[in-house]
Amino acid sequence: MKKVGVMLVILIMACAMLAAAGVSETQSATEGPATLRVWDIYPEGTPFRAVLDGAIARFNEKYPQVTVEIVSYGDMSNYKTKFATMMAAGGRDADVFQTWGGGQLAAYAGKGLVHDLTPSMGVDGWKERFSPAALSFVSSNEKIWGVPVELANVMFYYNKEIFAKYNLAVPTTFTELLDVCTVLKNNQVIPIVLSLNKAEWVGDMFYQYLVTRVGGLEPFKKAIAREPGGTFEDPVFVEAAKLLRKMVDHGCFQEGFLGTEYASMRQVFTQEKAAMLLMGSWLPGQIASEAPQMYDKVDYFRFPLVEGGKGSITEVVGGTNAAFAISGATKYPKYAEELCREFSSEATANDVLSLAKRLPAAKFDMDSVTIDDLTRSVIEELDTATGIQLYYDQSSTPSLAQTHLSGIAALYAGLTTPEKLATEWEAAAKKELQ
Amino acid sequence: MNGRIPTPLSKRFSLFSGKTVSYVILILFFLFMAFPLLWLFYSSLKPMQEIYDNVFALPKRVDVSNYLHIWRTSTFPRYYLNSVIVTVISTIGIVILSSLAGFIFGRVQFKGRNTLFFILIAGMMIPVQVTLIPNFILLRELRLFDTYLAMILPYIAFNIPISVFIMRGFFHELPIELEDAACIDGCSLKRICFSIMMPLSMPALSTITIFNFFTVWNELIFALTFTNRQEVRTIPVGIMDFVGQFETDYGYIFAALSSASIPLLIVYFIGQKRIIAGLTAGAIKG
Amino acid sequence: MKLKRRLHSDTRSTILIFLVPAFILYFMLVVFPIFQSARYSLYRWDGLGPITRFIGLENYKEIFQDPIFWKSLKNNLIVVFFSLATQMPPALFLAIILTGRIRGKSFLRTVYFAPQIVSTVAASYLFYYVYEPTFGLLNNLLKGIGLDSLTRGWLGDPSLALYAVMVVISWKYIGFYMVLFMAAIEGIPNELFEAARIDGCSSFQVIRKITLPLLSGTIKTACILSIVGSIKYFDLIWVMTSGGPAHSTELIATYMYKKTFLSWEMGYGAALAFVLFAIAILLSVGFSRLTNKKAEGR
Repeated sequence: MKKVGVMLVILIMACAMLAAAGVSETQSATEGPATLRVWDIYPEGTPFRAVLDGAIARFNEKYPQVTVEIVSYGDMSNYKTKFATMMAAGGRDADVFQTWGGGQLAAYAGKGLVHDLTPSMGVDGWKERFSPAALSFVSSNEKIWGVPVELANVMFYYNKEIFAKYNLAVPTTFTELLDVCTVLKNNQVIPIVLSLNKAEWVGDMFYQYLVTRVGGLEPFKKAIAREPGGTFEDPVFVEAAKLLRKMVDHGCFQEGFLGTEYASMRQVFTQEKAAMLLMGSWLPGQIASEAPQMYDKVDYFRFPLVEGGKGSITEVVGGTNAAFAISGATKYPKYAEELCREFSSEATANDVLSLAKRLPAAKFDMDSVTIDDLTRSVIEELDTATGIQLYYDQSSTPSLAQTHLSGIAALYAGLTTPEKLATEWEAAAKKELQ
Repeated sequence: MNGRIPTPLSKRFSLFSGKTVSYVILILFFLFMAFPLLWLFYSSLKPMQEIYDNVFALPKRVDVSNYLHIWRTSTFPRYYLNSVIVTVISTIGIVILSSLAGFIFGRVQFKGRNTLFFILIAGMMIPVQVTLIPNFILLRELRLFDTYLAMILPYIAFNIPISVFIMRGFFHELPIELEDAACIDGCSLKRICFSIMMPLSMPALSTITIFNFFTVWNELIFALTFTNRQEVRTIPVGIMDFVGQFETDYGYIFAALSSASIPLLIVYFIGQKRIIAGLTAGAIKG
Repeated sequence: MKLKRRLHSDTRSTILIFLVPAFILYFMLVVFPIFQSARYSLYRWDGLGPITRFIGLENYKEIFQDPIFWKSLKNNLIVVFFSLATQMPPALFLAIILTGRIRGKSFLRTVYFAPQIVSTVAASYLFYYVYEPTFGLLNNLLKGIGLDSLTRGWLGDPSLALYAVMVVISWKYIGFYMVLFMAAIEGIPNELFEAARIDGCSSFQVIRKITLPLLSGTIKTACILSIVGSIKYFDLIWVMTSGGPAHSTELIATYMYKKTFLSWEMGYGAALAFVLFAIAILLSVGFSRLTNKKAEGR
């Protein structure tokens, strides 16, 4: 199948070359030498860079006439700034760009800045390479706008050795979690290490899980879609906020967590000064490369149930961390699509797993990769999940996301109340999503 | 102009009868200023684990593995080159344009002078982010985006106000007699400027040269927004990238931060007499 | 110093030649974008696609009702005053000492100015690691000398974070102002000091009656530089805390940045920028007037 596709493409190319020399800015078929600019957050030296480079190399084998230029920014907020600026100026500087899907991608798509992938997805079984959940992250208005490359779920990772030392069992309920924290605290071990400095989304993951455990996935779904009966002032959101405060007041987190940065948090965990860390499935891969000596001590458990809550333990918080979309202003949509196809090929998916130790969004060959048990179990969690809550800040429009994260940070800092958090969130949503 | 504090002054009086108080304060400030930098440097010479084990101890042995790692994979030399090119050219541009303008504002009366000056100075108050998107679009239209000029031109434009402010202040203070004496038969404005005023303005010129050099060298926002390719990236953006990349590897990060700072500091220490003399040169009066 | 009008034929052309290049660049890259932004501030625009939703002064109205804006303004004012208080006196003090008879003054002067040399980004990361609660220098140093109780989550404590950051700003800029003052002090003619000495003035009196008054122009300039710089301050805070935790280090400039590039509320962001602009002008003009009045009152 693939060979036929390639032949077709080459045929089209030949025709196009024989046709006119003048290139129009818009839908030209694949042609002679071209340049694709790819924007991502993986500079040299990061494991994911190797994955993408491998895909690009395979792409170039088929299309040697295309030069792929990479623009990488290691710092997320730098990437976001540059990206926002570029989009505000027409979105012409990138052909393929990294995206996190959800409401942000939908916003771009709504303004015609993203190339619609729905038609191409129907060709050659491209669509079938992804699970419906993965595609839902990059779809809106019944159209597909992006290609997910990595999926992530969020789990409670913990240090087995520390747990064993204090005879702790894995908590399955919220109360048990608090009890575990008590024991750890009394023994001068940081129960859960958290970072909120420039990383409110980390703290938000706790909140999202608490909401899901208390009320399931419905409340948020209805509120964000502004369905009748959907509101952020739903008691579920307030209750979850109260539980979050309980965790803070109980001392579950390290002192000064408001000032800890994302990277330092991981450091604390790998230096074994903390017992637990709530994080996405990219964590094992990071530990494997940064602190291999303690990798075997790491295991995970699912976020505990809240007594009396409606959520199920197989519902997870997650999303796509690496997805790529094509700019609506690209001169080479066909090449760009081919590159994206390669990003979701089985070879790339295998690389995502073996080189970067992350969960691929596209189907991969479980047997051809050697993966350790930890990663394997985490993958199975995602496969068996009964529902996935996409991170709140990805589901929302950027403005609402910022308001929400701001409120969460205030909640952690004790500068707002659970009720106020919900009220302000609802007010912002009303304004934003009218 | 060799940066030496003139001896008559220092002989004239010693400051506090509490000499020891002075020294104590000096030492305290020394520690405050120098220690963080020293900590950075000697920490970068520790292997990773040692950094976590004993945060402020001196390294057990000098270990340059952090540096080797980052210089092997890195584009630092390129970032340095870019920073030097951009900074030097921008500074030259700023100094020339603002000394000429400062001269006019400081010594020549003409209609609308004050209004123009006010417009110029108001520009000092503008937060640069306001102009990011319009300038982004403009630079793209002019096809200057992602080039050295994409940084140089904004740097010159944005630093002119304050440099003009300083130069104008300086020129304004020069006595009119200087002009009169040298121009008995009347001379052109150009002659007044270049033969008389400019030579006298060396102290102020030094001040704005140095001031602008450091301002441009450290500039982040424009460098970040108006360039994409690594080939033209400057050091501040490069550092942010590095830290983003080596998130948890304190050793690598410290080595990167040190690499970014040490060469400049060395240049500074060697030339500091000249550099600070430039700033303080106004002292030597005939 | 009076300025005479030179009635020479090439005066006008000279004026033009000297001013035009600077003004062209200035208008193109500073003034014009400002007007563009002013236009943006009258719209609701998310940065994507054409600018269409005209809302007049709605953004500005919203700003005045925005609690985060007021918090940022408060923080900005704190930064302004704190900066003046912690940069000027030490800078003056050090400048006076170092122009006196002190050993090793050259070396010390070099060291005090060194923080200026280090790039702001590098300094920001450096001090982040100094303040880091678990592995940072400060807490570990305190523990090492037995002051465990003083350890804090510096950048994480809403009541401390802003001050922690301001310490870094002062660290960076004291040397700069010190050098500025030193230059000015050395511009004071020796004869004045001679005369004072002969009249039997003590060191303190010399400072009070000669040094400080003659330095007043420089001090005033330095203060204005500091005020304007503090109002616009961005780099260091952005890298260290991005305005967190929970807006306790939020400055108008960082809030504007977030609104523009992270929330995509570019109209609102532009309006914030203008408010910032207005405040900066107000403060510096106000300060100028205040100190001029004092001078005239003498």
